[in-house]
Amino acid sequence: MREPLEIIVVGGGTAGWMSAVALANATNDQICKITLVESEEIGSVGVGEATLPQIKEFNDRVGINESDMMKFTQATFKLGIEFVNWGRLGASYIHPFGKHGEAIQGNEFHQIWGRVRSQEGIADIGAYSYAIEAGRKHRFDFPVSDGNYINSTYSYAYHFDASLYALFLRQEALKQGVRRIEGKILNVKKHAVSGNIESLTLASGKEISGDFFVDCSGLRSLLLAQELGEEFEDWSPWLLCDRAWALPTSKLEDIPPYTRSTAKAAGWQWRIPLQHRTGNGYVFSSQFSTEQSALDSLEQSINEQAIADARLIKFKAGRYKNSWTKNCVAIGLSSGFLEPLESTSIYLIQVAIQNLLKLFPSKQSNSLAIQEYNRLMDNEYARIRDFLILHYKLNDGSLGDFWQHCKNMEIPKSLAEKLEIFKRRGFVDTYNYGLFSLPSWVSVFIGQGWFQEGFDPFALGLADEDITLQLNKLSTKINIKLADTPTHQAFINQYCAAKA
Amino acid sequence: MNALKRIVVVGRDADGWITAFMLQKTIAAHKLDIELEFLELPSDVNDGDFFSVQPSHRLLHDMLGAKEQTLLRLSGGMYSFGQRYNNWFGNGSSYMQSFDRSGVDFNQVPFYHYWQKAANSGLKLPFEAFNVGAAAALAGRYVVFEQVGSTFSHASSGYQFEARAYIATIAKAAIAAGLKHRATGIHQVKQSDLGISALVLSDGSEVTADLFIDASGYEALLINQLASGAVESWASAFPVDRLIVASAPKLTPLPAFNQISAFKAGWVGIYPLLNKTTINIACSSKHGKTSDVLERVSASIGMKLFNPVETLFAANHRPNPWVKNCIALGSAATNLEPLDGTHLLSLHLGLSALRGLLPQYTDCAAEAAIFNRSMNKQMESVRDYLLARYKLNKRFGDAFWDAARAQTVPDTLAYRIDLFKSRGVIAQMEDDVFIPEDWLALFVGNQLSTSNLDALIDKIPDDELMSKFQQLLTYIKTEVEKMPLLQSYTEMTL
Repeated sequence: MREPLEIIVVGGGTAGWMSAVALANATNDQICKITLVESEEIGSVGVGEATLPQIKEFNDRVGINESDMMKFTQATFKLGIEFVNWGRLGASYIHPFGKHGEAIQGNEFHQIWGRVRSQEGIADIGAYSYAIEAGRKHRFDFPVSDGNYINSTYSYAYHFDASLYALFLRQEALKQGVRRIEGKILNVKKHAVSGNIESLTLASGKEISGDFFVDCSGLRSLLLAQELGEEFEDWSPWLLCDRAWALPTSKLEDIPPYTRSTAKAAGWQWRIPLQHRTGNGYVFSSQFSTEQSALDSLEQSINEQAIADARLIKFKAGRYKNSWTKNCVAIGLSSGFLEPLESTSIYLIQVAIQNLLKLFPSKQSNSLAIQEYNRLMDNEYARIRDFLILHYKLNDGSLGDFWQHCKNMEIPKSLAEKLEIFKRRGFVDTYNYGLFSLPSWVSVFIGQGWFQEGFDPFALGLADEDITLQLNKLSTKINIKLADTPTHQAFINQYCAAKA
Repeated sequence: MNALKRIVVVGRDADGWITAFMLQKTIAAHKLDIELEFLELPSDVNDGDFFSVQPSHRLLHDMLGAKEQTLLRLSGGMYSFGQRYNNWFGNGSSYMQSFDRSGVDFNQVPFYHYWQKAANSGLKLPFEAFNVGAAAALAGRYVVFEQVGSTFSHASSGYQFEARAYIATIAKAAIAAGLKHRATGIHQVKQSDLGISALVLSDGSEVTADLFIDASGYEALLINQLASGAVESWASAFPVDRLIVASAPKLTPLPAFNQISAFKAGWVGIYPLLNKTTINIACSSKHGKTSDVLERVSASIGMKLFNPVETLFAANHRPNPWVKNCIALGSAATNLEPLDGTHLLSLHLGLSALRGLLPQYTDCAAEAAIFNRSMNKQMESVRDYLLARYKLNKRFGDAFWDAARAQTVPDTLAYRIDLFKSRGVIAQMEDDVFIPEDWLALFVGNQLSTSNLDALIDKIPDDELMSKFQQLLTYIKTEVEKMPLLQSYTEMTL
């Protein structure tokens, strides 16, 4: 039997505790010993309060009971994101965790809908998506697995208080044998030749040595950037936002099962509904707005009562070239920052953990594991990056200078080709690895006014009347099902009501 | 922009007929306003030629509306639930590769790691002992499950067909479906800035179209005119330059698998068919005379070979199979030896890609760019898979195999091999055609071993692991015993 690997997790935010609990769950004492170092003094960023459906797999894998977790974290359900004013002033669409409509004779739904979209009696594409309609009507129930039913066509995620989620995971992790050390790290010792991290010295003078380090220190990137000097890849030419004001307010009267993102003069504003409060924030570019005017704008646009002071977060879009180098892997914001426009922060933590478990470090050489890990993470980051840039690129410039700039910016070639071929014939160049499948791309293209002009020839054979008939049937099916679906609030009340 | 109104397929044999029939069917089914004509070139098929195809070929048949059993009966075809690779790492060595997975993951760690750990401590059972498809193939069974969905297995079969009969069956169906076709030769390919402007046929008449499909096989009659020299030779990676097809009597009882055996200067495949057995020898003329090879093969497999027909072969690939208004499909685009049921694979992949990208307008550079990128990556991935068998061989002392082993392989393949040797992990790439379980079966079968097994396997105690293994073996044995023998199944159904 080999000596257990000493793993040190640095930082106790969402990334730290997700990593700790997943590592503990997948291993035992003979495989590795896990220590997490955190400092109450430092605190966590905790803006990532909206999640993606994949998080359920993570929770299931580490044995978390959904309803317990939701109660503890004041969670609500999420069926998608509403984008307001994106593309043009007055526009609104929902990017759902589900599909639009159903394919007809092997033709993608958007092709069919695109054929008749300007005709009388044809609704926007969202009207043919169960997830979107449920969202609009503030209704929620679990999806069924039988594909014959309309309410099988979606998945769901959560809005939750990320600090409470971290705390919830901490309890789980401690139960599963993770050792927690409170303290601030003052110094990091590295091996003179290999450059590997050997130990951390805390303010108390205590020294913690380990074989492998998981850097979950957040934006500071304490180990990866500061100690190991990993190079930063700057994506701010495309993703200009570099500040965010976060401002919690009182709870909403009628809780919607979706996140809202509203485009504003110098960026966008989020609204994340929880059971006990509402998360708000304005993500903006300091080139196009002062901090003060951004704060004013945020405060003026919220009707609910503020329940804490606004907090400013500074960042730069991009990522460190390698997330894993030597005996240290950075997970979470320490490995890169992408604004929470599509709620990808926690997802990126999750795939980082999955990949780490797949390529579990050994005391011997990890060079190929490192190469593979970084290859996988590169791909994830690049896919998300392009998808985020898309939101900025597609706009009519009417919202001001910031948007004019985005409209005219050069975008990565891979993305430019995707735009061109969609416009030409509604073709979505999908991929097997990485986030965002066809319905996501279609949502943003169409939602932000980028319509297809030509068609897949196979979609041209259907008669208009047949298409209209199918669309009406679909719409009826959705409405009938929604009529006996509980409201989001009622569902929460019976399934996971938190203490007030 | 002008609408695409007319497509001409210039082709022969399977590439030509399948392409034309597929287009005919889909155009008719979707009531498209597109005219189609098939110009049929003289056949290149030899006596005894065969096709050995992957399970995915079933999808192509579905698209064509072909009924499996009828097609097998009419084309003397047969199922194969696996391929047994013999002598690839020294004479006497052997493993069965099925179209199925081995074992199940425990705690989300691939079964391979548990099996290798057990093998390292003395377990004598091969990896494929935990594979329903392999067990069924070895036992000569036709795979059906008592309770569908209750199993970890997704065992499936590839097929082999007699080429002439198979093509004739498809041609007949295509004509019955109303395909407009004529047999002709191409006298001249006229060009303009847009690509091909017209074809002058043997009788002097001219044919025009908005889109030309080159399914003329190795000759690449049209695309070669537009882009001569735009072919990559893959011959230095694949040393086989001769294919010899011969026939032998039918095997009884019918084996449920093909055998692919390496020998001094190449490999020989034995493919059981409905009415006979087909033998395919792939070898290099630089490493021995064909007549000697035939004699040696006949002796080593213990079968008398009839009607051997020898053809020249060279592996090659066209990185841009779509040029202007001409698309090369099948052998006109890529040629690989049929080592892993890869007959017609390039055709199938090309047709699938074209189904998603058939242009609405005559100007189609945007479609071509996506098609070319995708096809190029997919075929390189197939190449890597076949090449891995050569690279990983352990036939020391045979010049043919020593050179194959010593060659430098593309970075993509080198990386997959290195990652597996280092961690037991299969690198998954965007345009892979063969899935991770295929790569795993190949690597394990070729005795590639891993220096670092996944540490997470230690979470399951050895005795618990052994009992999980036992359960799997019992399940497999019970299921396979309930399956019908392939011999009796085909007697009843074909």
